[in-house]
Amino acid sequence: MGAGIKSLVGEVFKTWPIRPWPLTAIMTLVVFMVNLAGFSSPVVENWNWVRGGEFLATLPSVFLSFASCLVFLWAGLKLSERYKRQATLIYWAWGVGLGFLITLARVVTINEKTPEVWNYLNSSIRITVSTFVLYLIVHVSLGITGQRLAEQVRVAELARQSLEIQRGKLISAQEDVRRQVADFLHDRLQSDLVLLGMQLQGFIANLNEHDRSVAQAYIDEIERIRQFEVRGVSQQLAPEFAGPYFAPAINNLVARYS
Amino acid sequence: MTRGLRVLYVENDEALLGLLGNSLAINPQVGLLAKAGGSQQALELAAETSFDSALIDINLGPNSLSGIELALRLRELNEHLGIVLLSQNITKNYLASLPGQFDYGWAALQKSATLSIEHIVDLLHATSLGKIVADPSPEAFTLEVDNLTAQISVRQRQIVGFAATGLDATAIAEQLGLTAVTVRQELSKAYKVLVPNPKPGTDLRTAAVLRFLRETRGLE
Repeated sequence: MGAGIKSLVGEVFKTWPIRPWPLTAIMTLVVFMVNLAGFSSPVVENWNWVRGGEFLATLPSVFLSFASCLVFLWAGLKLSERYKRQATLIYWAWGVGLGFLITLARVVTINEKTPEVWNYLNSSIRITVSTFVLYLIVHVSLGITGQRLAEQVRVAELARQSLEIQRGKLISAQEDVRRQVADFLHDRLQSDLVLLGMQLQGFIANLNEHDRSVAQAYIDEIERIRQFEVRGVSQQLAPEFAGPYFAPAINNLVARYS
Repeated sequence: MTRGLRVLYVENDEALLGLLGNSLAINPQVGLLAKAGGSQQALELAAETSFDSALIDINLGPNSLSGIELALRLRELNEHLGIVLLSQNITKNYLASLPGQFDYGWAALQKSATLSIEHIVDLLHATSLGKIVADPSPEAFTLEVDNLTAQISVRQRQIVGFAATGLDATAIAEQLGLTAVTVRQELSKAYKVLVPNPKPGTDLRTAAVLRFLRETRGLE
């Protein structure tokens, strides 16, 4: 529990990146709603055009709040990006400054139709403090959300990279096995069949004519297996494209897919 | 009396080097045979001895020059050296694809189970005289694309099937309730279909049975 509170406090007082657009939008909406709240009861219960005109008189403070808030926060963002070591100071100073700025936007738009309460000091203090708290809430909530999203993206990216590496290893292993099998067929099995045939050739020289012709048929079969079946599979597994083998390899590939 | 051929044989397959080398060494036309397992050893031997011709495996392994590179180096040492290239992948137009330096005294030979020592010696001799042997593979098999077993009758398939188990014509006749003469006639017809171009010296029955077994195994 204590750790959770500590973590929450740590995140609240962390320096988050300044977010001009979201905060300006929320801030403007809040100013508008606060102004409207001051008129809602009279407007609903005792509506007349005079009271409506008084509400319209508060709108300049909304527009001024919007413009000044956006410019001020944008400047804060740029400054914190440029002076990274002072980012914390800028973040907090801009929170306090925004409170005063919104209050100032209301003070300079005071006229005879704006609410009487705008003239009171305690009202201005409330606005200043509320704005500062809102500044913190918006930045903390957006910051935490962004941070979690970034973490999820990072994890997903790591998983994707890991998957790519595994995929590469799998393809590489398959290629290695293909090459090993092809090498075995080419270098070992074909050679063994050649040797077997040649040894049989030497052996059958002493046989009678009939036995020799039978044995010759088996030798021919050995050669047929070597020439077509073993070599064909070997070339399919790992076609050799070097030098004079290029054209035969291409012909084999064409024959295979035609 | 003419002296025998002095031959350098270069092969990285030790078993083949031993068997083919020994077979060549005892051939009466060969006077001297030197064996090398790689390009370095071959070059050392060639520096010491003047050979008439060289029998060289094209693929000499990863730690050696290729057979073609070695042949060119050997020619630098002895411009009259005949070269016979040996490989498992000699193709019909292989000779034409070799470097221009191979314009005299060379041949290409396919490693084959039916390779005969006399044929190799003939090539070594011809290349030592500066001749080019353009088509050195006398026993290139044709690719079997047709299923010939499908072309014989059902009765013939039965008879060849029994022949494949080792039964003679009389025993097959007893099994099928036919006369031995009929069985022989059917076998003869089947041989003509299954072995359309018999090589001289090849037993027809064995060749036909082998083809029958190969094709029926493929049909299952």
